Amino acid sequence: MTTKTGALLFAFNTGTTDYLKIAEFSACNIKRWLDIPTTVVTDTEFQSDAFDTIIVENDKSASRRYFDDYKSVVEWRNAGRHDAYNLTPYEQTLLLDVDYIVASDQLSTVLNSNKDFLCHDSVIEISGTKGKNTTFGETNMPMYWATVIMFRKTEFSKTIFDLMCMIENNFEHYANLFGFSKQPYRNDYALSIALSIASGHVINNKNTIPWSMVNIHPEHEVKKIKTDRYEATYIKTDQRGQKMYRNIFDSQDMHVMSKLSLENILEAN
Amino acid sequence: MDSDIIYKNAKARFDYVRNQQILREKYQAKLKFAYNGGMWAAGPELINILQCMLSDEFIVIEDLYQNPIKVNTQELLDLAKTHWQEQMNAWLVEFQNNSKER
Repeated sequence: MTTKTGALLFAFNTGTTDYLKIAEFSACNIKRWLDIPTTVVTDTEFQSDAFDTIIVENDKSASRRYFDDYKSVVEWRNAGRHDAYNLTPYEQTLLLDVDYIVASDQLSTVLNSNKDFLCHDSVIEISGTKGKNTTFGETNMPMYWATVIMFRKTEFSKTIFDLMCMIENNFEHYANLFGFSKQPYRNDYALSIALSIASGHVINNKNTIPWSMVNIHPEHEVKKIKTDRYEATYIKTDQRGQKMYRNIFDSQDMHVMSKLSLENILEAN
Repeated sequence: MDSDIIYKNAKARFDYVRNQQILREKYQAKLKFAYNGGMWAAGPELINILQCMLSDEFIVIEDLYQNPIKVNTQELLDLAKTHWQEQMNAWLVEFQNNSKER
């Protein structure tokens, strides 16, 4: 880890979700567990002690996506992630989605690695009832997740972000090429295609974080029991019908995809 | 949160098997550590090879990213053993707590 290491978050509020508030919670967790400064990129002028730097960017275009927790199609602003390379004030950056809860020092291992670029290529789905999304599209492209990315300011990282920009600008073309839906735009897909191109279309583990990310789907509810202790509930169906189950997560990082759960966690904070 | 949700959550069964699987994954992740430019998984395989090669001050071994890395045998062995024992102990504590929760 260098002294010029920090975390970068993107938070663009929508009509349904206060992403800045979620980002503040995330920044506090990052400070507490990883002891690194945090920069937020947003389109809203605001003040907050949670961040070391606030970068106000022009409004990023919004797409729309169905979320199970809201049971409706809602606004989703995930474009422009490729700007991370140019916007980051750090030599080594931990780029996190705000819905990734840092509840342990696990990511310090990633920061201590000497790699230029790392991200997850595998996930654990907590209930065991959902797919693991190891591939996407009709061509079964290996899936890399843009939720957690560690990158250094190197030529290789720049190439990845430049490629992501190109893919975002020509998303329909790549959707047709690899056989996935052109709407909504997905950073995960852009990252996966970019990594594939940059690696000469050779599948390898050179840029993968060597463990799986814990994924909690939008329809699964998460609540905070106490600091760094969370409970997820979900329904499983067997021959005798539906039953509700719960799991406890103690000091374990996780990707909480339910924005409603995140808002409830913030209320309980 | 409305009372229906509180009632439902209270009735939710603790998913013991799934929790133990997730717990194992958690500690598999915690066994990974960075040293001397390489990424390593503390465990019997790494500890055994280092123990076997202790007569050599430095050896070259393959890390998790399939890169050959020159390491100080004793230094990495000490790190791997400490890391492994710490995580195994922590895993046992949580494993037993889960059994009680059941």
